Amino acid sequence: MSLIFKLIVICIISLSISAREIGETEITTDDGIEVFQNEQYYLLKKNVKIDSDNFTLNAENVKVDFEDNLNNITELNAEGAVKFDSSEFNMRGQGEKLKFEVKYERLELQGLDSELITENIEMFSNGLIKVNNLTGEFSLFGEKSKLINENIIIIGETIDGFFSNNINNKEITILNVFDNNLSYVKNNNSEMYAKKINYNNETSLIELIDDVTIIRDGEKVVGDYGTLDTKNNSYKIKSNNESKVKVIILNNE
Amino acid sequence: MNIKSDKYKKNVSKADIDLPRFTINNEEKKIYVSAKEGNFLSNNNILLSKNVRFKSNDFSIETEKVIFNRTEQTANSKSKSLFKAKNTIISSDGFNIFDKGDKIVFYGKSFIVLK
Repeated sequence: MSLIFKLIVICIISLSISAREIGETEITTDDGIEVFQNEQYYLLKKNVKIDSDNFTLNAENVKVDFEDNLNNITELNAEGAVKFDSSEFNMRGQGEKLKFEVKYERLELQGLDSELITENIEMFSNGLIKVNNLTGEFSLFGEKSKLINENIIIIGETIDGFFSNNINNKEITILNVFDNNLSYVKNNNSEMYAKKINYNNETSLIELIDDVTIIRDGEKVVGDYGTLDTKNNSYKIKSNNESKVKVIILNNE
Repeated sequence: MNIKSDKYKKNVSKADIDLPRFTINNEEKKIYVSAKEGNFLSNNNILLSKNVRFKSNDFSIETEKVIFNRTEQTANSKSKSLFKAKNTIISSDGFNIFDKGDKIVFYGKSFIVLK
């Protein structure tokens, strides 16, 4: 009888230790924690797991900067097979390194197979993905960096621009893509190649610069400079060589 | 007669120091160290045991055994430890205190709860 009672007590105690309560953040590590009180940071070492109501993170090692007390986190730097999921910011991601500045909502993912997935936009890179959630600024660096949303696929070595601040539907308002080996943009019915591709939501113009190719409806048009108006779905292409014919195709559908 | 002798033995502590008390003086704060028993391992190293407690204004650490170095003002424990600070609990397989308490290293599988 006494043994059963002891077992029940042990079960209750172990449950109360391991069960995370609402509002709490639970962190486990395999190789300890180093706390630097004056410098206000701590290191979480080996097989780190962070679990809270609206954020989970797995990584090999994590450095956490704090203010005043350990749970007032200002910056988080994780490395080694980083995976995270934030329901608060509606995003998840992975990479070799993650830097997250909490106050400024700035996020950086670095390394091979980095990816950042939000409700509307997916970003992939083997180099660097940077997003500022407050200003909407984003950038991707590295070979074959890729950005996908509902209507567009963008591939290039450098992709940067701005998202709209609409929380429910983050649209791309400004976009600049560069790749010396040709950037690629695919929207609803067109595929575009050029060294440099720019887009401005206000003018609804996609600008294509150097080694331009537009493929649409089985038609392929080549030039040195082009623009595509996403509003009326028309495009223009011209060549630096004056003897070449400029092509203008209007689609009045 | 034998029974009396046993009782007497039980009441005699084997510790070199009963209820030892020390202070780690940090530029920022003081950390008070206390235990039930202390035994000298060398001139500077003291094995603190039973209800060992490190306490500052910001945090406390509780454990069962610690080697405390008086001159270096460092502490090393390989027994289960519980760190408590404002809205924070850390449990670990041991800890080290360096740099007069500025740096605390918790060993082994560690568990943190931030409230």
